[in-house]
Amino acid sequence: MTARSAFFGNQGQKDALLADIEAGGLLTRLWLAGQDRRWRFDVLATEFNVDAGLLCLAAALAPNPQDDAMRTFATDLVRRLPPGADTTGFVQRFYLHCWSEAGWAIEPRLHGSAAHAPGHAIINLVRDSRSAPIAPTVWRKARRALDAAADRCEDVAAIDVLREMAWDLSESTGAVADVVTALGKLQISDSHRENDWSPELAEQANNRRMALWRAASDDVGAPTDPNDKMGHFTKVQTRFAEMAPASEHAALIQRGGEYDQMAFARLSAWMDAAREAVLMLVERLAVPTDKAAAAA
Amino acid sequence: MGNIVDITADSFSEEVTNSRVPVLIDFHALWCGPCRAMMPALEHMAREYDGEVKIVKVDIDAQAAIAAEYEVKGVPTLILVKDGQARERIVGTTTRGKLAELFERYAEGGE
Repeated sequence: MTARSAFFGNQGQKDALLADIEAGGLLTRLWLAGQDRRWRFDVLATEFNVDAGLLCLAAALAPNPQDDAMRTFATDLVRRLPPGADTTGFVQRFYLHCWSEAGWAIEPRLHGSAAHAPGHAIINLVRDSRSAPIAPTVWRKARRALDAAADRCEDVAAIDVLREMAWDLSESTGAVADVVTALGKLQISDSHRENDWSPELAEQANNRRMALWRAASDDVGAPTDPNDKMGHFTKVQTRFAEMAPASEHAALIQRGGEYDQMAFARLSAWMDAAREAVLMLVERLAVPTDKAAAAA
Repeated sequence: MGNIVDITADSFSEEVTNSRVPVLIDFHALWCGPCRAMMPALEHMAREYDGEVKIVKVDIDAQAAIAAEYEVKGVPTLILVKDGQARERIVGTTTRGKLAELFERYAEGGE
C-alpha cells in the first residue's frame, strides 16, 4: 500500500486548503465529487495527497456544503491533520471503530447471533486490507456467508452495514458512502423500533403520503411558469396541507410524519457523533508517538 | 468488460428480453442528479458480476415507451428482469450491498 503523506508535508498547502474551505471551495468540490463522476475523489486525493476514501467519507458526512456545521467539520478535519500524516487505510480504521468502539458499535448488537461470526470475518478482512489488497472473490465469499446467516438474525440493519463494508476500497472508493448510508438507516430503524413504529407501517404511511401528494399535484395542475419550479412546489405543498386532514388516512400520514421527525432527529445526532469520531481518529492518526512510528 | 450500455427500443429485445443472464435496467434521466451519483456503484457492480448479471441503462426521456411499459414513475428506478419478466424493482438510489444481495439471489440460476 502506498503511503499518503498529507499535503505532501507542506504546511503552506494546508493553509491554502483552510482558506479554500473558508471560501466554500473545497466543500462544494467534495459535494460535486459525490454527485457526479466528472468530479472525482481520486483527483482531489492526488491534489492534497490524502486517501481518497477519507475524502469520500468526509463528503458523505457533510452532505450539505451550504451548512455552517459542514464547514466547521471540514475546517476541523484539515486543522487536525498535520502535514505529512499518513492517511492510508483511514476508512478501514473508521470501519473498525464502527464495529466495536463507537457508541453505535455493530459488534455488541450481533453477540450470540448467527451473523456474529461472518460479521467478524468481514471485519478481519477490513483489518487485513489495510496492509494488502483482498481479492474480490474473497470479499464476495464473505458477503455470501453473511447473507447465509441473515435470515437467522433479526438485526437486519446491522447486517446491512456489514454487507456495505465488505468491498475492496481500492476498487471502489464510493463504498464508504454506502456504509454511511447504511449506518444512517440503522439509526432510523432503531428510532422506529424504539417507538413501536415498524418498517411496514412506515412504508404504508409513506405510500399514503405519496398518493396524497400526487392527488394534490393533480389538483394544482401543470406549472403555469415552467421556470418557477419552487413556486409550483409551494402550491402543491399548500394544497397537500389542505387535503391531508380530510384524507381517510390522515391519522396514519400524521403519525408517519411525526415518527419521521423523530427518526430524522436521531439521524442528525448520529451524523454529529460520526463526524466527531472521524475528527478523533484523524487526531490519533496525526500524532504518532516515536514508539508507534518505529513500529510502523 | 462489465460496461453498462444504453438501451433503445431497437436493442431492447436482444439486450434484455432475450438475455441469458438476469438484467438490471437502470431507468435514468440526464437531468437526474441521484442517477449520476449512483453510476460509479453500478459500474462497480457491472464489473463485479460480469457474465452473471448484466446492467443496462434506459434514458426515460429518449425511450419513453420502454419507461411506460415498465410503469416507471420516477428516476432512478432499477428493475431486475429475468427470463423476460420483471422480478424486482428498486425506486430511488441504492447501495452496492443491496445490489449484491439481489444479484446473489438471481445469479447462477437462483429464483
